[in-house]
Amino acid sequence: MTRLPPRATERLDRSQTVAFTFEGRTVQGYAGDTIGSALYAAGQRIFSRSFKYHRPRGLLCCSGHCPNCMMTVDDVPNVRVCAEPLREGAAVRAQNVIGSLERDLLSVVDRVAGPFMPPGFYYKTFIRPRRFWPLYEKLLRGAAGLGRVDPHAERTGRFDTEDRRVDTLVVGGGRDGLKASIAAASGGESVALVDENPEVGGSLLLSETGVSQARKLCEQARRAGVDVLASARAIGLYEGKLVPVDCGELLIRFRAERVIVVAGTAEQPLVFPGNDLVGVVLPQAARRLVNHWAVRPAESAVVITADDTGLEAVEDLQAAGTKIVAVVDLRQREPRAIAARGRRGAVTAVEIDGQRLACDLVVASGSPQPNYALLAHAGAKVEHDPARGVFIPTELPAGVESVGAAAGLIGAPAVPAASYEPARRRPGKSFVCLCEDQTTKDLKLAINEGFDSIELSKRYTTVTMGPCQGRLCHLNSIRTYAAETASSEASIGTTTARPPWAPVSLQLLAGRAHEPARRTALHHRHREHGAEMIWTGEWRRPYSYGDPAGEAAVVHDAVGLIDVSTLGKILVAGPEAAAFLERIYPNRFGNMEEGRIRYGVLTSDAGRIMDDGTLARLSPNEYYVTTTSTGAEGVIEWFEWWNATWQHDVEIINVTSALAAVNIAGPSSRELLGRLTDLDVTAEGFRYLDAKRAYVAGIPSLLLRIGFVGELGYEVHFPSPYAVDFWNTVLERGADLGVDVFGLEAQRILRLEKAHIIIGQDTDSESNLLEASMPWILKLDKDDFVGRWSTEHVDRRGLMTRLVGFEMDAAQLPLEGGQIVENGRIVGRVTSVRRSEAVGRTIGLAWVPAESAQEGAEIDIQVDGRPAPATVTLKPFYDAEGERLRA
Amino acid sequence: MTVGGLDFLSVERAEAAGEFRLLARSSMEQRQRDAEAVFAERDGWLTAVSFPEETAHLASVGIADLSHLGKLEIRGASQPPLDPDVVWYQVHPERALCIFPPGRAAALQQGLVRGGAHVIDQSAGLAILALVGPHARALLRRLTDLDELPASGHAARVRADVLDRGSGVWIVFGQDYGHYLWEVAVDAAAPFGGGPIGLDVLEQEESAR
Amino acid sequence: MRDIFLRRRMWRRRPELQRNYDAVIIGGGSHGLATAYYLAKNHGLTDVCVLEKSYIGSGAAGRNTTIIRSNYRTPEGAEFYQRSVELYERLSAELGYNLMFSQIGHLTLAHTERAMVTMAERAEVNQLLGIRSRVVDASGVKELCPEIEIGDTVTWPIMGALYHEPGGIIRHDAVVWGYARGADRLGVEIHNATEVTGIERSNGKVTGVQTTRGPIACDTVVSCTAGWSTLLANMVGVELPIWTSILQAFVTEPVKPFLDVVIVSSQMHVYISQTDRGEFLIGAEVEPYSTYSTRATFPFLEYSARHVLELFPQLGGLKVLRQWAGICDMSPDYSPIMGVTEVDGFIVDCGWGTYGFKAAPIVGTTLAELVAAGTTPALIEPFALERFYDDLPVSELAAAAVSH
Repeated sequence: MTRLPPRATERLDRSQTVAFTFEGRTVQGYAGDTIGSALYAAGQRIFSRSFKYHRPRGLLCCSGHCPNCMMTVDDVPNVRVCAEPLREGAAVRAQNVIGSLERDLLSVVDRVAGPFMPPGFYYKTFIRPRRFWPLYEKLLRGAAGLGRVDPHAERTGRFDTEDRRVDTLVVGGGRDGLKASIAAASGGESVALVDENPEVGGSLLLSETGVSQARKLCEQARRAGVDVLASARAIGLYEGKLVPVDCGELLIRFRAERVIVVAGTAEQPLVFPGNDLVGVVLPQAARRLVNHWAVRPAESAVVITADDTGLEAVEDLQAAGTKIVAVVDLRQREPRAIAARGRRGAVTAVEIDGQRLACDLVVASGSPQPNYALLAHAGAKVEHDPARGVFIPTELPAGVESVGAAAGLIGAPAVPAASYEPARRRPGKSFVCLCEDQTTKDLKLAINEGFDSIELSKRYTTVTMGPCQGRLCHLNSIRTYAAETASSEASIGTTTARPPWAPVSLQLLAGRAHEPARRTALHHRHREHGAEMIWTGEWRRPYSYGDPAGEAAVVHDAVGLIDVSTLGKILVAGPEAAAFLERIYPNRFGNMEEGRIRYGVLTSDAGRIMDDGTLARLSPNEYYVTTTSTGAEGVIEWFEWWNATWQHDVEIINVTSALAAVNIAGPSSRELLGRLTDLDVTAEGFRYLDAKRAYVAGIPSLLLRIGFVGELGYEVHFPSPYAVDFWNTVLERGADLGVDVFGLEAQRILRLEKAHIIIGQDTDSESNLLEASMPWILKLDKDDFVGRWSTEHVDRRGLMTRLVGFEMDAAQLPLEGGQIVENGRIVGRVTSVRRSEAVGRTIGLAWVPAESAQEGAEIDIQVDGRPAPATVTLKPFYDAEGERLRA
Repeated sequence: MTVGGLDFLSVERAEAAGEFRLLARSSMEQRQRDAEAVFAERDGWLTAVSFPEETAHLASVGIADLSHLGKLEIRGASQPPLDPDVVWYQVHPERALCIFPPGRAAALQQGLVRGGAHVIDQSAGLAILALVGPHARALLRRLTDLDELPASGHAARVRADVLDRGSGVWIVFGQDYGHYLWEVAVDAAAPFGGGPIGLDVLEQEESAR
Repeated sequence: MRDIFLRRRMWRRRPELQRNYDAVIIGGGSHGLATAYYLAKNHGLTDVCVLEKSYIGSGAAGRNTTIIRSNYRTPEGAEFYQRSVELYERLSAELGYNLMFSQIGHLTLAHTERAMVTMAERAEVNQLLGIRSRVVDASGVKELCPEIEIGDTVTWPIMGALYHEPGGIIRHDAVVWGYARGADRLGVEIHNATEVTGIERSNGKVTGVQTTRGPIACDTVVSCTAGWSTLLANMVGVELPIWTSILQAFVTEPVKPFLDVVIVSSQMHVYISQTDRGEFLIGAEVEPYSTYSTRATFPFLEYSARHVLELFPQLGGLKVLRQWAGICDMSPDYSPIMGVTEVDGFIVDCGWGTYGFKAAPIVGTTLAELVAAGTTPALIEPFALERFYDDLPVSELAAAAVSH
């Protein structure tokens, strides 16, 4: 055990031990440990095997930003255990190994396959023979990837999302961040501060005095009204200063007027042979192990550092009882060559300019690279600072600020060399990118192959595309480039920083699994009737109640009831209502009498059919417009958009939700309606295409006598809260007439029998009025209207295709979407088709070449891969003269 | 009895006349049944007057259905009536939303029309979810990014107007989303220990203030 | 295999820009480079330069979600893309560069009856052209993708899908590099960091281009500039009915093989594949607003994550590593615009929206043929710019499914 006596800076609660399993063995830690610190304290040194070479890797950063400690925890892959809070019973397993971390059978790759696996090796191999590619690919894919997803894993855990608006958001709770938040709050602003660590204070928390300073600042901030959030990681700085913050099980979307990024720096590794050995660490790893988790990291250590962080690590290590073998401060002495040596993957010595220093820990720190990513997301530029050898953010957009080290105020560190490889060629890999196992040699190879811009190289070598997303490798890769191409870091530049700044899980992003859905007021009644419900757009609707053909028969023979509440309903009212409608529809509506209805088809300015519905003129200045169920919002937007320019004196009011609508249809519908209302419902009193207002079942209603389903019928629109009682009353009062409910499928059969089209099914985004066989809709003897020019153009050009009805033997049933073929060429398609019991044939609608759009023309429709004959008809299949409809 | 003008939009104009059974129902009724609400008829509406554990819910955040209130949508310039029972939200200079106890739609409408505005009875079309209690605003943040109230935008990804009611907030939205928004709100309230409350306890709470 | 040990440049260093070329191709993406390659290879035309304002493959070629398929709705589209698929199948061998084309199969999920009808239609059109697509029901989907959730915990349960066997994914950068190397070796000049600032014409004919490195005289200019097409066409006075929007995508951290088919959901506007590196590559539909900014958005991550987890609840713990966006030039009918324009010598290749990458080989061969022979190949005649004047669209837009 390497656990030290209690320290003031520690996060441990030694009174609580926490047991978990690692590779099936039970391990003990303390509350306040991370899984990584508990494992380290228990003696574990190898935490993972690298991506390509399966080299052993140990803790490097101890702050959750590198790939070295990724393990699978409770079946979640790729968990960075060095930052993952320890919890009771956690099941922790190594990943990407065959065998164990200590003895990974795949490490043979490192010893043998290295030369065969330069960057991009897969582009140069496995090209022939082609039929073996799937096999090779399987091997490649099997070797790639780190953790494994359990195919049987279920969604567990609860993830919520919250929106917060503040005046100032401070990202980073170190000393500078805390001070910035206090200053903002003292100015009267609403302020929030977020920090990704479990305790706020940043590097202050690494010393005893720092800890109490941090606590005081935190108290001060809270008293000033700052909302201080720990374990809250900002993951991006998006448009509108949206900063999503990952708080584990809560995602907070912050929107701020000011965002102050105090994200500090990321210590960069030094590049030298053996720099990936277990035991080569960054200063913060050593400092955190000692201070946060009271662990002595090693027996003896060599420290090589570009700035004070390494020296601070020296103090902590000494206090922990580690022997300091040597300290190399790059500001004073720049070695020419450094090489770490190890045994079984763990460091045993480091050679500096030929001098061999035995040790089991090498603290190697290059530049402190400012964490500019969030600023870059927001649009800041990134510039090279040659004096410090790092990239700093500049030209911050309005409302985005940066303070302290993140802004580039990092003192005067040494600028390390791109690499410290010894001139004498000794074996050893100098890693630039640990995530992807890319060495200096690999990068040089890529450059020599012509991938000589940083972006091209990134894609070829995949440097910065691994889990650390460049945090620990981007700077070193640019330095290597500069050295190799004899150019400057400034001219090479950086690759684009992209969100998220740190990996964020899909489940947190997804939040709660709710999707907006709409239901009519009769939904529950449909369920009680045994309906099979389907989606149409956002609506749930009854497909059928078990017997669509039977339901259709009830409408033909008696009286049926269908819920059509999903129809869009719009009031168009005002002195210029008629003028507006004349201008936006191809129809004529201005000459409608009050109390009459017309069928309208809306066309786009390209003359394409957009939607259809009925228009009832309620009064000289009021029209009641219905639309398709999924089209309502689009039609209203369309109306409002055009009127924003036209400025007609008209109000466009959406009453879709306000009104339920029920269609009562069938030969007995008049009789039934008469029992519910005092309105004169005789044939003369209530004609086909009349609109009436009356009480029905005690409810004030608008009645439209229209005929989508082809039988005598009335569509009743009334306030939606009464839907259930209306429905029940109709069913009760009509029981002796054989009334029954019918669903969408029955409705589709019925409308097809009348050759009534469904917009979006029989037409698509290219269909125009003329080719859809609705020339009567188009009124050209009126002023300009939307779509006029295009529709006239179609007329002049000539019709090329036509929407027609067809019928065929009931034994044949083509698919909707089935193709019409002529001499082996596709010339049309079926849009609707059903077997109709009432008609005794298979009937449908199809687009055919214009020359085939003749009554009786013969066409061939593909059925089961073979052409089957069908006959074109331009008349409805049922009640062609509409006698039943107009009864 | 005839139906004139746009009376076919009006909930309060229903005339059962003893012959027909008529009860106005909220779009959230089924969800409330599933939550074991106790119902009662109030002002022609079937309302959820109490729920199990509502006192505990209210101590955190209570969710109540106020869909039975009357609502008018007003277009054009208009002035709020001087009436403490009338809630007025000026959405923008040419549009307002007016909410009031049930049964007063016709009278209010007349008054506003006299003032020259175009008025539509949306009592049937709009549902109202009230969030009441110490965590009302916290719950609201789990549903919408609107925070300077009153405001119009989206709540749980549907169009909504959100009003500040002192003891809490009201979310006003299209009733066809009723079952959905109820479900989302109750689910979001769970981590706070909040949940549904009935009209009775809500009334008590408001008169206590 | 021995190439691993050869340390050979993929392409020559950028040469001096000549004062004239027979043909100038603007745009160093997959289309521009393919056209250059086939001009040299199929027609022996090597006095050609490719002008790329950034680095090759920096545009759509480097940002797309690498899906290759030909399961299109219109006969013109299906046939066109099928020829491209066939070229892709042979391309690694031809270029001597492994493009890692994995024909793992492609499922376009249908969640409504309407969608099933669209799939049926696409299947029929495909089958009549000899393309291996067929409709499968929900259990068929489950057989082809055992990991997917077909139950009714999904908000819009899967009803079935269009299964397209030859569909798959490819390494997009490799296509760019393979074509670039191929073209370069045949003598074509590739000029990175060279931006076209103007196109010269006189008497209705192209006479040259202006660049940031000086002028070039030429009488044939091919614009393969995708999202920037309207800006290029403006230089020569050609109007294009294009609007520009962005398409977003993201990758997750790499995991061991989990998904070995491409999944596209029409309902959820999301598509998912797992790359050979083990990362999940997830993309969506074009954003419904016009922009040239390739800044990724947060709502995209949220709704994509929500929908992915409906289909694959096992992926909850998987983490997003990086998101990006690319600009798309959308045409009115979601079909490309290829061929001559009213300016002699100015050839456009645009309107590629969200589906351009899969067409690179066939675009290259047909445009090369057009440049070399001076006549428009029959295969691309339906995609002429003129069709918008005559209102003869080739409408892939009318299909209900996700448009790529």
